[in-house]
Amino acid sequence: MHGGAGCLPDNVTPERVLAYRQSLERILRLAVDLLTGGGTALDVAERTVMALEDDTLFNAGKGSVPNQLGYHQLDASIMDGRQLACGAVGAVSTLRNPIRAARLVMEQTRHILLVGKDADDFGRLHQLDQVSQDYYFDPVRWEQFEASQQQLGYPVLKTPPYGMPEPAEQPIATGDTDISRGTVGCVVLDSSGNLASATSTGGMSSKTCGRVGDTGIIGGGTYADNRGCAISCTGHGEQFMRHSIAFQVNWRVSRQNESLQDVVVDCIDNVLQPGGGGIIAVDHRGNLSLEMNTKSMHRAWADSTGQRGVAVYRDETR
Amino acid sequence: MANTLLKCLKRLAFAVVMFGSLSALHAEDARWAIALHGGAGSVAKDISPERLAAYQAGLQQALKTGEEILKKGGTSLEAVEATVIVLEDASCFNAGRGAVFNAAGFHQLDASIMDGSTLACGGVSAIERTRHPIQAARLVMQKTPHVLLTSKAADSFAESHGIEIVTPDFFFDATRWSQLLKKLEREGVPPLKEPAYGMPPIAKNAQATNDFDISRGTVGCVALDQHGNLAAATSTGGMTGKMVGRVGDSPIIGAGTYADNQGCAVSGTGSGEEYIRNAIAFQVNWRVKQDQQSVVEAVDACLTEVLKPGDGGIIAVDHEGNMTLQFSTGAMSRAWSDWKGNRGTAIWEGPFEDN
Repeated sequence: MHGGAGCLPDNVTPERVLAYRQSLERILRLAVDLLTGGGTALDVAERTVMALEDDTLFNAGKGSVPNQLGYHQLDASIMDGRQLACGAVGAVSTLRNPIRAARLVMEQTRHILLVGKDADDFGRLHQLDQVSQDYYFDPVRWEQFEASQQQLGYPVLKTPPYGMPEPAEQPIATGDTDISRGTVGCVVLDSSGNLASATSTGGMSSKTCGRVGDTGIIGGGTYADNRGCAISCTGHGEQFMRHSIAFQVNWRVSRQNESLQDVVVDCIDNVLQPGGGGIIAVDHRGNLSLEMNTKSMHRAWADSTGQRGVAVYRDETR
Repeated sequence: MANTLLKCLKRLAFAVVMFGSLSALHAEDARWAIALHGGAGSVAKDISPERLAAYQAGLQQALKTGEEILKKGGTSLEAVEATVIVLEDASCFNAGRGAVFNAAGFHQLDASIMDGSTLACGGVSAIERTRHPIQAARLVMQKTPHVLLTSKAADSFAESHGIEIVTPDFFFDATRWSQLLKKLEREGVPPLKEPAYGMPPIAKNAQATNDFDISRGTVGCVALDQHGNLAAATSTGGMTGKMVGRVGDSPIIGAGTYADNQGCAVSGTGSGEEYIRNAIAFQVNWRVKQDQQSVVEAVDACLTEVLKPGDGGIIAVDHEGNMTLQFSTGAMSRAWSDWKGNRGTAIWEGPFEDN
């Protein structure tokens, strides 16, 4: 699983980094329990991403970054490697867990992608949890947003357009000034040999209203195919869309017999621009790959051979 | 003396190089190609002569628009945009004016465009008020750091850049309305009395024709220009009776549209979800660029090995000007032209005789 690729600054507080590690560890344990308990790849991918969405630390669901006008618009997609069934939502703004809506699009419609208020309405119709915009608010993301607005020459807002939510507790300085393009995602191989992938995000801080990134696009940020692999991406979404990265990784693994690690590394080193982001993937043999060309990527992994770990910075070895 | 001789030699060498490159330029000058489609589907061969004439006129006008630009040395990007604008304006095609209705009785349009020389690309989805969605897609490509903008925000973006905004009834077409009513009836869904925006005045005199099942139709154009650059553009109203907010392959780079100078330019039409699931436009380019398949082989493989029969059509052109226009449906309205004088329009298998 990943909790977004980025560039954590050197002066980020140890407490903040520890918080990331603890969240990843907690959610990894949840995922492993589900998987060893017989959960399907699809269920585990979805539930893991829900947990990441619910955790304010990560840029997805609660804790999503604001767009140019200070609102939150979220994207998510999910894919089942068995039949290439897939679903996605783009620019939703009232759903607690966009990944659940993506799965409903996959299972309850003939379509793959629903967007905007219509996608929110679809979620409501299927009784998904609805939230107001202030649910997504996070003071750390807001500070980063003010910095990104300034950088881009956009108006700096004093308060969110929906009003400044009452802080639950006094915010503590974190030193986390990494203007986030983060995303969360999870790829899973289950004991039946099925692959699944799920990805969810609040997008890029200060993005244009209505922007949909790779996370909402099957083949861009998410892909899963039992004959090849399951992929979830994070980073500068437009690059991933331009090169259909998730589709490309699977195509090269399944059709050209390249090794998963070689393909992921080639995409990271040669297709994407430096700083472009990260990719996680698992193939049908259970080989894992978690690579990035950014300074950091929150990530965690585990498998049936006992490999297990949590990492934040790039130079941490697996 | 030796010095002067050297200078002369240098000048001569320069002239030879100049002449050489000029003649090379001239040889390349001639090379351009354009292919366009107005949607794949099934068309009854006994459609009314008036309707057939409308398709032919639309195809011809669009083709001529693109051709002129390419012949004069314009860019493929300009050519595909201008061609798609003509197709969007022709109400017989499912894009822009004449777009199909969604399940709630209004129009949500998708479009995308890609420049093969830079891989720059842009798309808009589920927009409702922009007359030419393809123009909005090009603005996304050129004026934002993004690739895809969606819904009302995308309309507002287009409006803020001064492109033409219309009321939703602008897109109304009587044939499309009757297609929606039939679809709702087939599915046992209660009928709609009128479009979501009310019955427009033009509906009074309009006659629905019952000839073209391009409820999954799309328009698109691919082109190679004299500078050797490729571009692709696709625009659509989507599927008749689609869920509100549904986005198909047309605005998705890699699904319905792709262009890469090192490979080819591709535009798809058909069952959009299958094109997304298999990243068809990206895949065609990959097969050409990495697997050294010809555009004909790559498109054929996608239509026969990856997609199911009846899923749709694909047009593509590579950097040498090789074109292909294939479909696995009963028909695909289409047109093509190149520097060698290959030129034609067609709906069914063979080209029209009067080409």
